Amino acid sequence: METRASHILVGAFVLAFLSGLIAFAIWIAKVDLDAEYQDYDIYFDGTVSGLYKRSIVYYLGIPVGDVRDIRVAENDSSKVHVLVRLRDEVPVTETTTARLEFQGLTGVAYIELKGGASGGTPLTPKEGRERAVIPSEASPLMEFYESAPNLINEAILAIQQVQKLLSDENLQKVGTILDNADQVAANLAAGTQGLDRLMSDVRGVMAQIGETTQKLNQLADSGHKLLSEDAALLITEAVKAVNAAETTLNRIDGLVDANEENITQFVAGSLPEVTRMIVDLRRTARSLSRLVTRIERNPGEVLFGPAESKYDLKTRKEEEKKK
Amino acid sequence: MIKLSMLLRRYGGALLLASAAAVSGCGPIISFGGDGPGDTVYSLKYPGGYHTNGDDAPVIYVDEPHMADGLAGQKIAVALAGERRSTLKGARWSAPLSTLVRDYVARALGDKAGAHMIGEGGLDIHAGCRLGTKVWALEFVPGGDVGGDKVEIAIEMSLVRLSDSTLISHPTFTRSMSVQGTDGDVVMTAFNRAMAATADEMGLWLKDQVDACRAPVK
Repeated sequence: METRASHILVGAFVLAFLSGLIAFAIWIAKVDLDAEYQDYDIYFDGTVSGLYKRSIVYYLGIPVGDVRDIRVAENDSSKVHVLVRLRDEVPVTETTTARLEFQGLTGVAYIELKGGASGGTPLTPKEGRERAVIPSEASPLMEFYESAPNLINEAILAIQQVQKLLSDENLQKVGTILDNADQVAANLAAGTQGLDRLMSDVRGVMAQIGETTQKLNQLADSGHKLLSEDAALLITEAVKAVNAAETTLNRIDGLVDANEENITQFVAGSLPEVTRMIVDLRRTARSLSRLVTRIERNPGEVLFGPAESKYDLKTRKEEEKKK
Repeated sequence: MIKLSMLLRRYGGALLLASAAAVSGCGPIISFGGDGPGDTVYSLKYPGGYHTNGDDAPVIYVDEPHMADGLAGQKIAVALAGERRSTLKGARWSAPLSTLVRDYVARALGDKAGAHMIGEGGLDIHAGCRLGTKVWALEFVPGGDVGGDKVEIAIEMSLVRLSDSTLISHPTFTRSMSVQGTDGDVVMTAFNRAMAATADEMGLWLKDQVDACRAPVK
């Protein structure tokens, strides 16, 4: 017996089933059939690590589109060309910028749009281009990641420099310098105390020089018979030299007279403080030197102390410290 | 032939567990001190009052003491027979000994000698003199029996006039005080009594020297 089936009924059933399947797929995929989209190009400088096709594009934290394509820029291999598709109602204006951001520390990237205030001029494709280009800007986090290796290298370099600076040789040199400075300060203090006496002596010497100069002048002018022409010339040169010396001494005398109060104030007031400071600095340098030596020899001992005995008052005996 | 990967698959879990146990067993190797009772902390404090010297009193800068023979730090030194050194068990100073001595000297001499004694933090004050200190001994010396125990103090001082770096006076003060007992409190009482007696001597000495530290009349 032949089965009689209605072809129309079967066909209708198949079509209805396929339509339902398509509707179900649309519902599952949440495809918004009414939505309209606009494509834009974004060019990023350097890497876009963590950004993939279908990565979300946010505007003020709201998902407004996704990444459609990523490739190296056609005319500049140092840039990355990202094609994004945004909902048509997103206010992309000429002031809008795109920034690559990261979700937490997972490394997953997304694009955040900023700017685009209402009332701004809408961003339109330039002549000869298919899509408008949204300008990109560097992400602070990206800048940090890029500069982190340099920072670490610089920190290592700085530590190496400090280690060099704190070498035994340098500490010994600092100690020597401080010793010398201390000695100079002490000498200055002792020397300036006798400054008045010194200047008094200098004035006396200058008076004598003046008298001698006059006599030499008279002698040169008189054209003494016993002196040859060369001797007269020599005397003239000597007179010039003595005159120059007298001028210099007069200047020094005037300078000291003018600053006598300041010099006395420095010697009486500041110099002792400087001396004390040098003593303290010298002690600090020695302490540092000792500490560095101890650290070099046995860092553990510096941290936890050496193994040493303890005297017990009750038992009146020494007890060895357990390490 | 048994392959390594097969062994690992079979006994991997057990190996992992054993490794974890071995690593955790290394914990006691890293130690940050014992779990015993804490030390008793003692101070060395001048028992007298605070000085009330006039504005015209000479100013003396008390330098940080130099500590000899392992006296620096907070451990209480013990001098044993045969030049052996140790530290007192279960007791320590409340601060590094150089700090305690400096504060003690500054307060005691300010009270007794009629001078402004400038200690820590006074580097920018215009002082007439600098008082340098070298602590040769500040230690517990056990005797042959309980009655023979004592504490010893030896402090050398140098008074230097800062205007011309002249050494004005350079005495050394020594004091010994017997210890009557076998606990830390008794030892510390002896230390404080010995230090007070030493400070009396220092006060008398400095009182005769302070005029050399007055600022010259302009």
